[in-house]
Amino acid sequence: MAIPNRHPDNPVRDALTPERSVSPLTDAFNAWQQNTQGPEVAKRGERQTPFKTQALHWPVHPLYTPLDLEAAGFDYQRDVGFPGEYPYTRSVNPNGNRSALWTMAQVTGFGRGTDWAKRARFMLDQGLQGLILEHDLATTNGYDSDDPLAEGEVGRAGLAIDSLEDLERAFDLPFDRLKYLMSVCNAPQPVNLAMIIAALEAKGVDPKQFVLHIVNGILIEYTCVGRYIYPPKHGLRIATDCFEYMIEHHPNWAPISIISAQLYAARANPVQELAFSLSIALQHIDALLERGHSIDKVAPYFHFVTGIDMDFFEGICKLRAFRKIWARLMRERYKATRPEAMKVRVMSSPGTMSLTLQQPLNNISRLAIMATACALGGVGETMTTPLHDEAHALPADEAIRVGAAIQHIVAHETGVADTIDPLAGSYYVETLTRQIEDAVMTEIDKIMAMGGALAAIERGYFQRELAREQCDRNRALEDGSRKLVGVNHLVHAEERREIPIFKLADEVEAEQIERLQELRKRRDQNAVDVALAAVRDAARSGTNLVPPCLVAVKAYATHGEICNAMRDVFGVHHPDAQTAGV
Amino acid sequence: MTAFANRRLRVLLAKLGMDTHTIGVTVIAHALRDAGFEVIFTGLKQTAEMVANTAVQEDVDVVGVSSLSAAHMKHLPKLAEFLRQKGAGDKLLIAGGVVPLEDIPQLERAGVQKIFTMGTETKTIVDYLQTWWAAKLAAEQSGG
Amino acid sequence: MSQTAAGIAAGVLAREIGAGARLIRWLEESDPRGRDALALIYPHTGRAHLIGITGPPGAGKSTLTNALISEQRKRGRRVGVIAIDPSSPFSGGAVLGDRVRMQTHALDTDVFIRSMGTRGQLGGLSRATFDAILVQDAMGYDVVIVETVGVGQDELDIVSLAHSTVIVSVPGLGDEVQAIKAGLLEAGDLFVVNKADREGADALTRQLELMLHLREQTRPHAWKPPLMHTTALTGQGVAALTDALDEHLATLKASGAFTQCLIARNRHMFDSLLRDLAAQHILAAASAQPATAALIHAMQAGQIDPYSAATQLVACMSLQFP
Ligand SMILES: Nc1nc2c(ncn2[C@@H]2O[C@H](COP(=O)(O)OP(=O)(O)OP(=O)(O)O)[C@@H](O)[C@H]2O)c(=O)[nH]1
Ligand SMILES: [Mg+2]
Repeated sequence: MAIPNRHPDNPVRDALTPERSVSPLTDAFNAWQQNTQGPEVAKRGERQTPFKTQALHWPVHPLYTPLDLEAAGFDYQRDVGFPGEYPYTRSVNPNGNRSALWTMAQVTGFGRGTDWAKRARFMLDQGLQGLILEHDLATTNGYDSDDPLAEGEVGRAGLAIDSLEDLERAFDLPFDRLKYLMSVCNAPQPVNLAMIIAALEAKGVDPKQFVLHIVNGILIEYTCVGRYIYPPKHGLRIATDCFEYMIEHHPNWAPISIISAQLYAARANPVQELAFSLSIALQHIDALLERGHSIDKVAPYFHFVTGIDMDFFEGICKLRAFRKIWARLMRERYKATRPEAMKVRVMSSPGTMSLTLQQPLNNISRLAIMATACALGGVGETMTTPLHDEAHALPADEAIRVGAAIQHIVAHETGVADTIDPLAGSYYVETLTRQIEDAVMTEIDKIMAMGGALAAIERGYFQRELAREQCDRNRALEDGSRKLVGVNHLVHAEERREIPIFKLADEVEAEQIERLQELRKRRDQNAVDVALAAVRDAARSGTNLVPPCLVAVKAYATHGEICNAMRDVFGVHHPDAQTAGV
Repeated sequence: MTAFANRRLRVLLAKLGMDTHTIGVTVIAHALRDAGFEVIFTGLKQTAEMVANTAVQEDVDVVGVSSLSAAHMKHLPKLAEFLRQKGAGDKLLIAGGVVPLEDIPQLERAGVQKIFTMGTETKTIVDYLQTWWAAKLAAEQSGG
Repeated sequence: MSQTAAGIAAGVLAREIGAGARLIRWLEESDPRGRDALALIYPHTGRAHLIGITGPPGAGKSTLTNALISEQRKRGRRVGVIAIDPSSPFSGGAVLGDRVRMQTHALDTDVFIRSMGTRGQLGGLSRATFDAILVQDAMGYDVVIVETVGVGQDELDIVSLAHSTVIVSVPGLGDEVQAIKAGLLEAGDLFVVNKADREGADALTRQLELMLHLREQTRPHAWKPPLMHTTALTGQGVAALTDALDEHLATLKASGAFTQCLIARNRHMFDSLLRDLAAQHILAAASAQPATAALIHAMQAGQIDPYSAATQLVACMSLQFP
């Protein structure tokens, strides 16, 4: 079990055994248990034996009191402190959400490659300033559209990018209004980054007036989702090259996000989510420090995307512990001194794991509860809400409106954001926050003992842990020990609903392939060969991969060809059943 | 000792093309193993021909494809065709994942014998395979 | 595909992978047709170079096998692989994942990879494996590689009865050297430090050198086992390993040990089969014997101990035991 190695199953009750009874409160507690609660339990029993938390399955006691804090050695100044001050448990922001609410963003749902530019224009017309650049699976996985593996995928989940020409075409956008672009194309990162830079150059966009955000936290991909190309250590090197290139040439851009939400969507419990994503961040940091950068310089660039599912209290405590652990790691482990390095930057979002295909309106209740938990946990800079109907409908206008409204309802109608960290001091919340913190630190120690996140990934540790959680959760849903309304509880007969899939005419794929093959004929092949050789050389020698990739994309070497040049040197990652988690 | 004492259902689980979602295939692999089946996993990013060759080499009874991308209409008919071509048309070809109802008739015509749509319980799949296997063994025995 | 023993045997000899796979399945599952077909193909066996690869979980055996396939193919040889993974002791099922690392060869018709679960049958695994090897041998594969974790007597038998036994170690597992069981150390013909790109490879090498030195001192071998270094992921050192394997093969052939090895394998099979057949006969006879029920009853009533009960039953069946 990954769980809480050091987590005290029952820290308080130990302290409460009669011979250790030390305070009047202890006596009072024991008396309550014996004389007041005891008879009730004896008479009516309890709904569950034992009660357990939603995600971690830790025991939940009937009552939390100051004794629990005492047993955990809780110290207000040390454990929570003040907003905007170390250890930032209460908030990284000195005034919480009182000066400004978090940025409310909205996931727009599926995209179709050929429509991307059109939709992007539409969204800019709606007043949005930021966009997510989505690629199809072939591009994300580093293949050209005419690769046999790409069949059926070209242009489907996003843009098909085979060459700089494709991206220039897609960038037919009003860049005076576009201030922020996020790219999630991680595995072929130097190629992707080079393409974007070259296309921006071609459009005459001033890189200082604009923020490119690349996700780039590639190590997560090896634990779940699976959009990797090269063996993990080369994936890390590539990410580090891109990070380094960006902070040198475009220090206002955002070179990394660790999407720990992917871990929890892959069923990581909160302790695993934090421990895995933080140790992955540490691995990325170590790689940067090895290249001579300082912690105070690189740490503020780190950004996380997390969220809260239906594990209400664990989610809230996870966000609180997240801030504190990051601060501790930066200060204790890396001796960071700048506050910016110690303030974790987080975007949070309600989860999609518990959204159901059945009775979709129920998902609105779920999203509201999860968004409330995000707010109570301190959100971070931004919150996004998924769509309640995401499981089966195109982003219908109504679903988008409801999704946006959920955040406004939580922010403006409930008052939960009006005082900073309102649940601090709750005996339960502080106990659970502390337990999560301890368990995460223990798990991180364990990962470090394996040699860090990279080593843990190479030997399949994260993957196996996630696979176990996935199977356990599935089993619990099937045997009914975990209830999900509409799925195994309060089920009623209803029409079968489905997940729609974009069907793209085969011509789209054929046209893309034709364009690509035509380009290969007309370009200067000699320049391409020289450029690809330079990419191979850089891959081999360890110099930064972005500059030779820039040359290559400008010579119209294709996306797949440049990725292949790196494949020649790095090899490809083939996880086996163990390291894939299966 | 019955005639089937040493028989054990062998299932090839495959992921075709670029679809790299593994949660479904992980959960199924474990459920099948726990039901006593021998599961062979191809890994990711396989072509239809690779999967067909693997099915022949492993002499599996069942080929199961987990599909969470849109390319199933390309890959699955192709796989069925390769299996037939390679003399492995007798293997049970099934699929699961995100497959719209409207695609099912066409896939069935192409030779995919059963499709489990999103949300199917692992128990349903195990039961289906157990029933199919019992029928196959019975047919073999009565056939001599 | 014909489903008769003769039809399948003909397919095997015609090098049809489907027929070979079916025969392996029959043999693994004790289908009577399997024995008949095996008898037909047996005269065509005895040529393949059998390589056993073993080492701790995660040592890189499958990756190394994959790299060896590539190298052997470069040298123009056809390759068969038997990859063994443990079955679940609870359900008897298994997730067999070794071949995932070898899928780059999935389209090569001169490579035949078969995964096998340990299935927990006493003695059954080594027999099923040797059967599968015979089938691949008869199909004209020049090299047959068997990969196994090497836990348990059965797996030990498999690797030690190969022509060339390759023991894989990796740095960073802690007690890796101690984990080389005495039997395996004795059986090893080639020792490989894989993941040579990792830290700790040197220290591991020194430890292994010492162990091999001690082995030589205790009992000198005709063949001095080389200690090789590989990075299976990139294929580094795999050509040298293949050279060493070829050299070992040449030595075996020169000394006659190549055939000796097959004889030893056959003897192992014979003994194991004999044990099984004997057990089967006795159990069948016992269940037909009226005294059995009475003895079991008496044992359950506490009137007789199991030793005496079993001995008496055997006596009833007029079998002689020393
Ligand atoms: N760094 C490095 N990693 C390697 C090397 N060879 C294999 N690996 C990695 O080690 C892990 C295990 O490799 P496998 O080939 O599956 O190991 P195995 O011994 O077959 O494992 P089991 O069959 O599970 O016992 C994988 O992540 C491989 O990528 C190598 O030479 N160097
Ligand atoms: Mg293996």
